[in-house]
Amino acid sequence: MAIDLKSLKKNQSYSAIAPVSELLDDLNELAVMDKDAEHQLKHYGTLRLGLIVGAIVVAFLASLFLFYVGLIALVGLLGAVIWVSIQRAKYVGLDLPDERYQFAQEITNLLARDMTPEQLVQLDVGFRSALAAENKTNSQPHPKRSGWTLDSYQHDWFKVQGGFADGTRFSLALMEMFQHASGYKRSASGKRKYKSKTKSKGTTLDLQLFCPRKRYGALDVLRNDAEKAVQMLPGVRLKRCRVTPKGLAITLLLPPDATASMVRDSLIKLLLSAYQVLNLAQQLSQKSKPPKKSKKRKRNGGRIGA
Amino acid sequence: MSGQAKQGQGMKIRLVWKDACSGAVRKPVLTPPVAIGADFEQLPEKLGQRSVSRIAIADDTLKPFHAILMEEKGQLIAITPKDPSQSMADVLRSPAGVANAIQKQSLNNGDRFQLGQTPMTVQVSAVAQATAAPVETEPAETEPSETEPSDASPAPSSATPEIPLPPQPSSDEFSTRPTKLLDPDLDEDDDMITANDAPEADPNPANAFSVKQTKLLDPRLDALPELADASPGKDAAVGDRAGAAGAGAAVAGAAGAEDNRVMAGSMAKSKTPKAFPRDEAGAAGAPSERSSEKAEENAKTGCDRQVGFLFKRRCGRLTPTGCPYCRQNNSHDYDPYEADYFYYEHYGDYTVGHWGSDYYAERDRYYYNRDAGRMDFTEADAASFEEEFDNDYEMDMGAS
Amino acid sequence: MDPKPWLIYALGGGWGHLTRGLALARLAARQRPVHLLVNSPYVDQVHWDEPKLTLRRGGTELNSTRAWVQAIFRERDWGAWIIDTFPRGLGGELAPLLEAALAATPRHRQRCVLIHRDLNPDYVRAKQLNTFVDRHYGLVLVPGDREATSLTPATSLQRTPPWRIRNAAELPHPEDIRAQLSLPNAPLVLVCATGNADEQHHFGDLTATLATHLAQSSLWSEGGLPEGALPKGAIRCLAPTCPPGCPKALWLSHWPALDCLSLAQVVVGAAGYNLVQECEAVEVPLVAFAFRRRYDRQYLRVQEESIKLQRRITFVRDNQEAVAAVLRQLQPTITRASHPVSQFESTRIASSFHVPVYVNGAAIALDKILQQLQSENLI
Repeated sequence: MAIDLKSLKKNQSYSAIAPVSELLDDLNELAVMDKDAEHQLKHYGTLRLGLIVGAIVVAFLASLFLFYVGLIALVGLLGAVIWVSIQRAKYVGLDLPDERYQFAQEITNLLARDMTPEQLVQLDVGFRSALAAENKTNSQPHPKRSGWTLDSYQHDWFKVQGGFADGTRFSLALMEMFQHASGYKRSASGKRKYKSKTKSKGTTLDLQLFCPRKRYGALDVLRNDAEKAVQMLPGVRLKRCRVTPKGLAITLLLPPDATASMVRDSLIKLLLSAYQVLNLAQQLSQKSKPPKKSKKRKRNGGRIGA
Repeated sequence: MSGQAKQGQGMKIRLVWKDACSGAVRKPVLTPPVAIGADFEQLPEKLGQRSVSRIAIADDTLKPFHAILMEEKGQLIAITPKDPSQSMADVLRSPAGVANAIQKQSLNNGDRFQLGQTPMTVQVSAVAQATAAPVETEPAETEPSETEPSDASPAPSSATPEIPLPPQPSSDEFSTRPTKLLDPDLDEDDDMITANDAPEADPNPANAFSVKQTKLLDPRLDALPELADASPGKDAAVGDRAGAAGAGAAVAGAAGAEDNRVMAGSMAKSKTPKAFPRDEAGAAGAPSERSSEKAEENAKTGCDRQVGFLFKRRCGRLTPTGCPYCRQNNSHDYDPYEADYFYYEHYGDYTVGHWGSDYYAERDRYYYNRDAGRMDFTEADAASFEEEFDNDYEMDMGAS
Repeated sequence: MDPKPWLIYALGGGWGHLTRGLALARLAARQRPVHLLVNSPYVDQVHWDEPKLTLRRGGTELNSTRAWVQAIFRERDWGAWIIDTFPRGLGGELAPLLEAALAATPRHRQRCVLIHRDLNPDYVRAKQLNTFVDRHYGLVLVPGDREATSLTPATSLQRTPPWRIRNAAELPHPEDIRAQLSLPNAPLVLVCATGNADEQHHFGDLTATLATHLAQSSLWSEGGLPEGALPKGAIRCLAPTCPPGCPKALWLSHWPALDCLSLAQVVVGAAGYNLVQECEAVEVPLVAFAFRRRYDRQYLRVQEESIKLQRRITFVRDNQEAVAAVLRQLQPTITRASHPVSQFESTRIASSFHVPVYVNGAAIALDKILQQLQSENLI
């Protein structure tokens, strides 16, 4: 599937419905494009800097020695600076945050383990800054600092939806939350300076599974205990765990300092937690039950689904 | 050690064979009578008043209902039809009488025999010995509520006159080779056995891959939730293409329970071993035409290996190319995602002390005991769930 | 001796089953009596001129419709059973009929033809349709070169070009249609209110939204600018009845929609079989919604087609995206129209219709069915 560059640059997002293999191809292509853009930006940036320095030197020399020749050279250099800037601008929208598409690659690969190759996945990855205007959810006067405003941002830059091979539909979304405080601060010398401070308020991981009742019909039985099956990394909080006869929804709140690897690990734990519940529900739903073990097995006793 | 067991105590036997599809060594402990065949659904649940342990083996040379192992006067005997073209189901329905249509052969502890192309070893023990190894015990009762087989009266066929079984040179017939290869004791330590302990290599080169593997018994295979649902006749296996494979899911669903309904190959009813041959040369070098046909069929119906991270399912791939599981010399032990299970302590473990153990221990109540206060999932509900998926379809005449 | 009549089963909501069934039936009825079973709510909109074609209308109540279908199948010895989309019948009612027919006549399978529009693979698995089709159908036709096929029966699938209700040569001239429908001589945005009855309001709202947006664009509007200054554009919603939310003045009723499509600069509708194939036939860009269906996978079709038709189909999720997509499609028109143009140029834009040339797959399908029956000496 070809990536629509124009749309990518304009919207700063990637959105597609495709089999995993095609999505991964796209994400690889994004990575290549990003690396190329980074390289070009660096290249043109260096060139521009060199030209600007050159222009300054020429301007200085011209003012001392050959004014007209220097002026022409200066105009030429400035023209070159403009051209280089234009060239550089072509790549500005294509320099994407690496961690976003890398995360998307990792998670898509993770989910693909339990999908059939032909199953379609809807993947949305946003590359805009978290503090983009469209992410602002609230704005209020700062409760402690007079004259300051406190803006809240919610940035849901990753969302993936699709189906597993067992008939379960999944929806997984990641949302980062920020608070941005801004206002004028008077320095000791009496000057007013504009200051701003952005603070992460954590990241939520939201997993929703819609399960085929035939396979997981007994899920509702586990409603009151499902929460206890959720295992989390230290610092991660369970925000919601809701079980209905048709599926379950679990939301985790990760701490503000969560790294990309912590998000990934939490996500694996989240998926395993959900399926720890579902696999038991599947056992309870079966018409023919596995027999009770008279004694705990030495290895993997009563182990299901792994 | 003799196969004689004290009457009244009930006999337990352990059958050991290597599943040609998955490469897993199967060794359920069973209470005779044991019905063996290729089609789980065609194996009888009862013989007379006695519950039957049923074993379906994915072997295309087996008949749907191939043989019965039963206890007769403390001796384990194998019963097969006299006429090789008949199955046991035909024999039991035979108007000429069962006695004239069957042949019997006694089996002793450690005897090796071959059913179709599947070599098997039998270990015979009195109940006392078998219960000394509860770790591996796979109870013989088809339904827990039913009568204990050990208490039941002898099966009707035991009344038939004992007929010596002539030597059976054909691999298609039941033959015994009284070579004791395995430790006759049913101790706990053989929870893990290797191929060295397993029956000898499958003579079919198409299965060579499975047999050659040094294989640890993987108890997970027994306990995996099947992708196919429990209701027979409904195909839910991902990757099933042909009708036969589709129907196979029904058997697999029934076999998903970790009881005496042992289903070799787990998800597959298809009698052909489906694991990929180790390499093309393995298939090409097959001496017999039959073997190459089998290899071809393997390629058509896909791999039977259990794959997946969150839940296991039949692989179904037609080629190992690109398969993450086939990267390490086709080893059936290799799980590319194994390391990630460490993210969840005791994933899939519902035994005592772990989450869900109460539900798991009393899982029968959720189905059978309608008066249990915690249960809102009755048998009738379950039956309706079985049908619900189907009912979602073909119920709306305005759909498109 | 008169040939035995054929029975074509085309039950199902929406336009697709009805139009596909009728496309084949009207060709087949030139040589033999054909009975076409339908229960689309739009059945009253269609008309035909083949005397040997009998349209039999069923309801949507489950049990009575099942019984009605079964009675028709049993009422005589049909020359061929041609089943659209649902091998077991929409309500599963054909399964016992096919089984009984096969038991009575082992060769019955050879006179059974399945038209395989894409089906939800879950349904295929749940009902083991591959096995069923192998058992009961001698010929499986796929009505489209690119139509997805979830069935993989041993019986080989035979693809034909997409089936159309009219052959290319039968299409009326666009100017005649324009005159008949009193459309202005200007580019047209055509919203096709396809899909189910309960989705009509969606297209009604969309038509109103589109009209508002395009009027506000001031570049392309209907009557909002001095006469002759700009080519007027028209927005119309094609539907059997005026959809809720659609301004009455913008509502248009005509069957078959294929006649009108070549008038349009861009078509907006659902990614059902019919509209996608018809837009491709007349090479008009389609802005498509993928509606959820129990059996059809519209999202897959729109995706396949958008890739393979080089984005002549644009997938949209909501009205906002649809408006943006329509505006993008109109861009060339807007660019042209943003400069003062002469009446001559305006006329050129409006009359530069592409004359569609396509092969009607229904005719090829008919040949294949006849070949199948002849090879089995069934006709």
